[in-house]
Amino acid sequence: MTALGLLLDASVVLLLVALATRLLLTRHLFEAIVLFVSYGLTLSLAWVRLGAPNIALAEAALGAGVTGALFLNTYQRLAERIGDGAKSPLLEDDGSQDPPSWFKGLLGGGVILLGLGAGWALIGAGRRPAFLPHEIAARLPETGVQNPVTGVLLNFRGYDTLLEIAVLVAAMAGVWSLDRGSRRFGRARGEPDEDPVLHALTRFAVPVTVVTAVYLTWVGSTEPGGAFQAGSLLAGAGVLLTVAGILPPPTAASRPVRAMVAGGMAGFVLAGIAVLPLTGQFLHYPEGWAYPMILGIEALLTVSIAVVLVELFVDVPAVPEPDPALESIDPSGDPLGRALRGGEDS
Amino acid sequence: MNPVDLYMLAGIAITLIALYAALTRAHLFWKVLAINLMGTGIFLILLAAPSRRTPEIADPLPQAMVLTGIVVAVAATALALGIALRVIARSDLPFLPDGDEDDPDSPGSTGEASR
Repeated sequence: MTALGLLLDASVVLLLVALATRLLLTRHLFEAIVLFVSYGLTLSLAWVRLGAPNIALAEAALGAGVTGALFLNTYQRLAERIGDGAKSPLLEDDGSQDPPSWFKGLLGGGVILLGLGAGWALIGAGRRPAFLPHEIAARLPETGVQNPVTGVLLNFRGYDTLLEIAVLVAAMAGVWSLDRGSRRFGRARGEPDEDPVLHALTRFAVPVTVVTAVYLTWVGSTEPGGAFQAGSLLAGAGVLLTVAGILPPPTAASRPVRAMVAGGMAGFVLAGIAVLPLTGQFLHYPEGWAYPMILGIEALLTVSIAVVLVELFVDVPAVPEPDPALESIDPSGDPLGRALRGGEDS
Repeated sequence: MNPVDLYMLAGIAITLIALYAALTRAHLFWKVLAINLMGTGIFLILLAAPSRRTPEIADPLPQAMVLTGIVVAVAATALALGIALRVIARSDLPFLPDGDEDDPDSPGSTGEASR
């Protein structure tokens, strides 16, 4: 490792810790969100330095991109409701609800002790030779792909990836049921966005993103890339299209959206079952069929992941409508909801 | 010190700073941010620790785990934000209500009286 490389590593590490500390301690929500996006991009640099380009791609698109967009969208909705210049604990936390300082002191001490213990344990331990990476490398030809990460994700640990898609579908169902499917996002029909910068950016960025995503899916079997990275990129393009008002917001209430999301999981499960008579094991691909099956599953997953992520962006971040069922129990509840309705009537 | 150790120590530091913030910030959005950052700290440890053991070969298993973790973290963050917004819609405040809504100063209350 060169001195220049060490300098870069040290800068990235210091920047990461400083950004994390600052964004967690600041009292302004907007500042925290901007720092969060910077943190995500710095973290993707760290993944590159750690020799994990597969993760760096996903981190830049998801950790910084989609999550940052989620927070920014939430912020924007709340700021619009509060009005210009008004102070609100929603966006500026004065810390008045925080626990007392004796609790913070005690917790701080405990956390420092925990850190010293973890550092001592992790630096001291872990010198045993590992056999698993060599085992994976030796048996990689059996997976039908040359990218070891794709081999692990879709062959050795196919179960994990299947269950991950199930988690995504569950999260989508959860978010949607919080909303009860009412429309939350997007411009009213017939109200095109006139922002020339946004439109120019969309026209330039979306085609490039889509081509890159298709390439990443295709190349994922040999080079860094695959369904997760491509799905994240496509989701970014979808968010851009939705924000620009070009694409109708893909809420989970619509059947095509549900079909596309369920399709990824259904295809994965069906592929797992289809190989049962041939190999006798769920998701155990028959010899010679691994590569086409993985490619097909990855293509389905790319679409599923992209649609779920855009749906999470569209259906979550807005102030939920007041719930008449809850309001009838407690008429004093939901002042924000009432204020919103008052604002729409006038 | 090996550069990989630096990333591992940063992972420990970030995880613990985020744990502290998640427990001391009452504001729900910072709790969501802190839990998300805790995850990234764990990811750093997960990836850096094995490459100390086998520096000559990148271990694809933790990479696959972290990749899965990032996607799940986004989904969990979206769900957490949605729940936080429900809380805001009910109380107009980004804080978890204390157990007893009639007496906000009683932290230990179980809130049985209010239902």
